[in-house]
Amino acid sequence: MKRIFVIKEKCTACLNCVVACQKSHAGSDFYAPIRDIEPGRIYIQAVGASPVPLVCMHCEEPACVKACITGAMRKDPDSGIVSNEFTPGKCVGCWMCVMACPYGVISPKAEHGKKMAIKCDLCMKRNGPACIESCPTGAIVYMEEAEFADYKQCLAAVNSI
Amino acid sequence: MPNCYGDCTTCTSSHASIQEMYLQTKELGIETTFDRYRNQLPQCGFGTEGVCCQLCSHGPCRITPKAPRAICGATADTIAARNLLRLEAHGLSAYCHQLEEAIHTLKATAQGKTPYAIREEGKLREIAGLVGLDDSKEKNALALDLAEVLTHELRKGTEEPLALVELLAPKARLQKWSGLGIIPGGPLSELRDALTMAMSNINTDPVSLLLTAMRLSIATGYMGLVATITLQDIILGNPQIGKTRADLGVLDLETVNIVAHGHVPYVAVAVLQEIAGNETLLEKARKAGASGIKLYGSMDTGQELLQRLGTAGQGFGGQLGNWLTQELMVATGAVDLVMMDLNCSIPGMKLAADKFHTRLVSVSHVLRMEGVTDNLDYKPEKVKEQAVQLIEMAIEAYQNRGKVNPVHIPPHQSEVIAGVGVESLLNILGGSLNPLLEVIKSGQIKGIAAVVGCTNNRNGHDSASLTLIKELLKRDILVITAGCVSSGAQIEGLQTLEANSLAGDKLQSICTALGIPPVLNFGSCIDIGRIGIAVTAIANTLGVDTSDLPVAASAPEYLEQKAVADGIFAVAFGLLTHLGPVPPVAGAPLVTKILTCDAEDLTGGKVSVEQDMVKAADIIEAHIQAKREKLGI
Amino acid sequence: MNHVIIGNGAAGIAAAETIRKLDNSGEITIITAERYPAYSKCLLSDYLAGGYSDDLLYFRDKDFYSRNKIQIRFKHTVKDIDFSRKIVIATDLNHPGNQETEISYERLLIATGSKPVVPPIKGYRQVNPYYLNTLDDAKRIMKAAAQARDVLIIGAGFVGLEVAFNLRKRGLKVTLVDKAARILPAQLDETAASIITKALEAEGIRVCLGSGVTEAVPNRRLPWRSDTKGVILENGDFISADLLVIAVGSVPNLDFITPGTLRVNCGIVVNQQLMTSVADVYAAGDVIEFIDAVTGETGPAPIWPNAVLEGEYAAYNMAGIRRELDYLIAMQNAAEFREIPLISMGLVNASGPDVETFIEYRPAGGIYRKIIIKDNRIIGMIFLGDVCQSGVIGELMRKRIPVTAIKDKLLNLNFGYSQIANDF
Repeated sequence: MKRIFVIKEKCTACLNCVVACQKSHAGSDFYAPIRDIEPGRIYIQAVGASPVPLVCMHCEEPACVKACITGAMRKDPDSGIVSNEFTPGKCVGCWMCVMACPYGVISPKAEHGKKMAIKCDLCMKRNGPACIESCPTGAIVYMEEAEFADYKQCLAAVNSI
Repeated sequence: MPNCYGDCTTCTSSHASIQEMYLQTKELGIETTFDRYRNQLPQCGFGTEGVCCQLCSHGPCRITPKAPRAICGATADTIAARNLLRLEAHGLSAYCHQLEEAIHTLKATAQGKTPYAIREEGKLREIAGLVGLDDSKEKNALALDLAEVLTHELRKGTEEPLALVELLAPKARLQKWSGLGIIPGGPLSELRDALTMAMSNINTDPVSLLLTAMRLSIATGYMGLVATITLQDIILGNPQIGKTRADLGVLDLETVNIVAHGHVPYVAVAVLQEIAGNETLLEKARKAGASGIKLYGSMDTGQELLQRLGTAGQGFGGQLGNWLTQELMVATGAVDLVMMDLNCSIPGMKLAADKFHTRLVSVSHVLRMEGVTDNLDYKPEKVKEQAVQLIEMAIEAYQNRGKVNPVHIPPHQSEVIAGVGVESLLNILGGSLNPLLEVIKSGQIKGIAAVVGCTNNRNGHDSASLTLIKELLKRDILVITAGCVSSGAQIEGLQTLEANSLAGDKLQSICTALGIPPVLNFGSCIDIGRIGIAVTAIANTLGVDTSDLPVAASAPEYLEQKAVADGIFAVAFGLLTHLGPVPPVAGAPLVTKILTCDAEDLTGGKVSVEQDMVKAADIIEAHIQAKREKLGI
Repeated sequence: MNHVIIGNGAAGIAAAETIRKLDNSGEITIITAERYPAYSKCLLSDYLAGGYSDDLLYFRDKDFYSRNKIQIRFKHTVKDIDFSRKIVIATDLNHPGNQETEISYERLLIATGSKPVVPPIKGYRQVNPYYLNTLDDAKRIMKAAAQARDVLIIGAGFVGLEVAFNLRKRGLKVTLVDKAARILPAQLDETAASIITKALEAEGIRVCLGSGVTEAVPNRRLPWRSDTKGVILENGDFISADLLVIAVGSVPNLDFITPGTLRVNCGIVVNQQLMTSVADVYAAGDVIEFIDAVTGETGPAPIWPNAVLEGEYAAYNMAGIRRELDYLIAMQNAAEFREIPLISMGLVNASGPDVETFIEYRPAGGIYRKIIIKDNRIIGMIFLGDVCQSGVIGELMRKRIPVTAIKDKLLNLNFGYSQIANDF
């Protein structure tokens, strides 16, 4: 499956990806009204002074799916996407998946009393992830595993010149 | 499109000539704004939303859910309001520069040291009388007195209210502004205070910062705009209805071609005078192989000339385009010299010029460009010699035309009816505004929308403004333009009588009857001041406030800081002000709310940021309809 | 292979699903006393608030059984298992005569879950208390709640608290009683408990702590309200209620096992392959006991994610693929009370000279986070108000990763997976 890979050396922590993610998922052209409501699904964490993007890896055996008490969180057998948004209304916001995810990439969201766990869905309702489009440096890429391995080799070769 | 990230609608122009030239630049390997815009995508969300502060070395700080405040504690609203005020201060500052240059020119002209004259003695006496001068004095002496008064006005302290505001603003406006404490003093002092406030941690109250922005905008309106155009009219003549042509197709392959690009027309006027009267130069040009010498307009300098075709603009060769076309006009290879003044000369123009013989010359001491070595900074006392020098440089350059890259002039051009101002409008109407008011009252003209300001690649070159204008015309709303929008409308052929066919039935019949286009050209961006004067006159005639009128403003493709000052002035003036690209405040909830909502209670004006131009036209129409209903018409 | 699973809950369904993934042709039969498709017991307390459709409780799609070729036997209560003959003896309640039926297996999974503890207190049975264990229990409580005004809940554990909040949402007067001095004594510490108690009280729930129930009585002392009942507390107080819910804990549900046939301690004893003491018989979920990652001791670990994991591991081994489960965190819980999210894991009240406690408490922000470290490992945590990074901390606990080098960073606002990842 295609997923988001990170080339952390390229990240400048502009957080464009987070803003793009929030706006895209909230369906808003403007940031202010949704900034504190719609959690970002990609995270820029600081390791020392260096930023590192972190986003759901859509695991083969996802702990969040195993922890889900409603059956909302599932891994789609065709696309490989792990999401609780295949079944609208199913997620009740029990936060079991938040507790279970070893990467800490699921966030609670509450809007008008409606609770829901929020995680990367690879923008499945959209043509490609919004974060990827917004990244000015190419620190995140959307590729097949093998494709990314090649790409990383290319990068290494270029860097060694 | 190797660097294109999305299926956007940008990077295209509404104009066939520009599309054609864009392909030409691709062929020649010239990189233009259209390309660089794409290279800049995606743009940083924080800057776009105005929630990035870079004032102190703790920064840059950005407002995020994790960090709802900057390191100093500033909120998104503080940051956005402060940035907005700084943007606006830049705009007013440039306007002050332009006014100061006008004052200087008036003085030198009154002393007989320039090729200009006091052309509008009536206007001089009117304004001089208004500011309390003895208007029976000899005209040159009176001009010197007026220059003195305006210099004082420009420089006086913030605590002394600006005379022009108190004398020219509608009474109801003055009451509102006075209530808000935003009647400004001398603009330079206002700028000093505003920039002081906008330093880190001096004024951090978004509401106070926004009120200061309003205050600066009023100084912009009455000094930067109204005072400057008044002086320009006195020196160069009032706008007069006249016809010229626009678009890159007006470039003459046979002549030495000079382009006046920017905002300030004095040097260009001197050049036109030399072209008309200097046989020696003409001979030189002929010797070089040209049939003659022509001066064309680009951007607002061109608009200044084409609204005075009968006076200072005599001999004008036509209008080439606006901000986004500057590189492409150079890329025709048919431009020998571009004289650049004040703002809007982009470094990209040099990149295009480097592929040709074209010489770029600064004619303003504030304008410098990397790689440009010819600087003939405008001095009123020396402008005649400077004009000769410029023409000579152009003739010299002309001899290398076509040697580096071929000349390519797209075949498109349109007719333009230009030169609408308060005076020329009154002329058409037979000396009184009443005929206009009658057709507004009767609903034949539903209302008036000033579609003004810049051009912007964000929504495609001129496409937002042209879409909006056409939508408004359909709705029987008379459109007046100023600034780069004017050029776009001209090239589109909207300032012709034929364009009346685009208007709704009612508007079409009245414009046809009056023999005017449905899109009236009020001139350059500074001529937004003329729109202000016209709206004031209408309000005074009706005995209502400006905010009660079926009038709206829009800058559908606003670009730079002067436009920010103009836009805020329109809000302060009580108008619904539609803005094309969303100003960088969207990340600040309170600032956004004040500008788009609460301002209406304060000034009667407010901002709309509708980005769909059809919907924007709906909003403007609804606003005009509501105002009509309130007036009972 | 013929797989029989007793139990239609988290462990049973996870096992069935996994077996089918590994073995496309084998037979799978699920036996359940229930009459509903697999539903989530964790959601039953939310269900009590009303406005919840039954569909929302079902945690698998409608075609789950058919799509996975699972034979589901609803309304079958297991009476006994004949391990020597490999036969499950069940009563089929679908038939009017409650017919007895025998189901033979080659591999058996016992995943019968837990049942509520019935406290040995005088008079309970006379007052018809309610327990919340099944969907039918919930429906009964709903029915009673429609007529009730005063609710009394005995037991301030997770279930008691959730029932209290949800019945309160219906506008009922709710009183919560527990003999412990504070709520959730095993899952919270003093500070966290007081924050949640305040939330309970702010919701309008009366909380009576520190005094157990000595007697339950039909309300003879108030003759004008003869339909009400109540309890007498140790301190002598009488609390009346027309609806009484008991939530004092649960125990493994293994009544059907004839003593001496299968090794049972607190729950069914299994090895790391989830095998019981009897060949070809496996067990998973709340019915078993397992090794706790925190204490290293064996005991019940009754929580959904553990049940799923156990079900999956059991399934692998039943299908002939050896997989060993190391350990689980027995105590882990996620909840939200009055918009305060809460996650607690492990030993949250551990103290002593060899224990290090890190706390971040921001009362204004409603945030309380605590991590307890012993012997270079995290042994407990409470994340309250801000639960975002709890999964990362949980992983450090589950994997028993040494944390001495990063212990000062664990509660930093910026702490996240990136800081413990070598590369990814």
